Amino acid sequence: MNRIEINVITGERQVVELTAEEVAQAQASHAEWLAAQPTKEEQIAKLQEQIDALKA
Amino acid sequence: MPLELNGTTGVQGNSGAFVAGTAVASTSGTSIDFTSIPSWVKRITVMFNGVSTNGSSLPMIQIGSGSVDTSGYLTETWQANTTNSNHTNAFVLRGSMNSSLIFSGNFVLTLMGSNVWVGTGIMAQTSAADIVVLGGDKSLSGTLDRVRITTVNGTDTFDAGSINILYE
Repeated sequence: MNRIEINVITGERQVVELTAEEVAQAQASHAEWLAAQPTKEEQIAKLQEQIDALKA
Repeated sequence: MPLELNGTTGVQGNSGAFVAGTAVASTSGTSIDFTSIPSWVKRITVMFNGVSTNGSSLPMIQIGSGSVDTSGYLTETWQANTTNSNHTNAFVLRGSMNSSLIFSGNFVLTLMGSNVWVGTGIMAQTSAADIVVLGGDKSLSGTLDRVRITTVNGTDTFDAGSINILYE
């Protein structure tokens, strides 16, 4: 896995291999993000509220 | 009054100017970083043309000063008729994602002052009828000098399209 870096001043393009630490950090960040997301049930309940409001 | 347009210092003469980068093929890499953005920049437009990834992790934009910030964002992403979610890790460009999904659009960041950047964007899925509206803000500890386009899990790979930035 790698990251592409473009220097906007010089136009230089570099391909940088991700370090194990960067991958671990990304995975930790992803897990944190997932935990903060509403569940499907919560999303369905929210949509149902909107449907009910439209029907009322 | 003569104006000097320079990619490093911008326009001398207190006038507006656009500096466009060279479009980067988003056909590889888990992230694409635009670095060394000049300190005089007040507005940045990130352009996406037919972009896709090989997975289901949501694409997103992060910014930074010296390094990329991965927290402290106050953003929201609304995907037509499906999802509406808040995020603190980035400006998230999609409400859902899959490996065959292709999207295009612009995301614009403007400097409010005191290193506070406000962003808004519209991303259209070009492979189906679907659109995303997103926005929010991010306070940096210093002058913005980089923009990163990546995915939430950081490991999905870009596999189609091109990305470019315009700064002024």
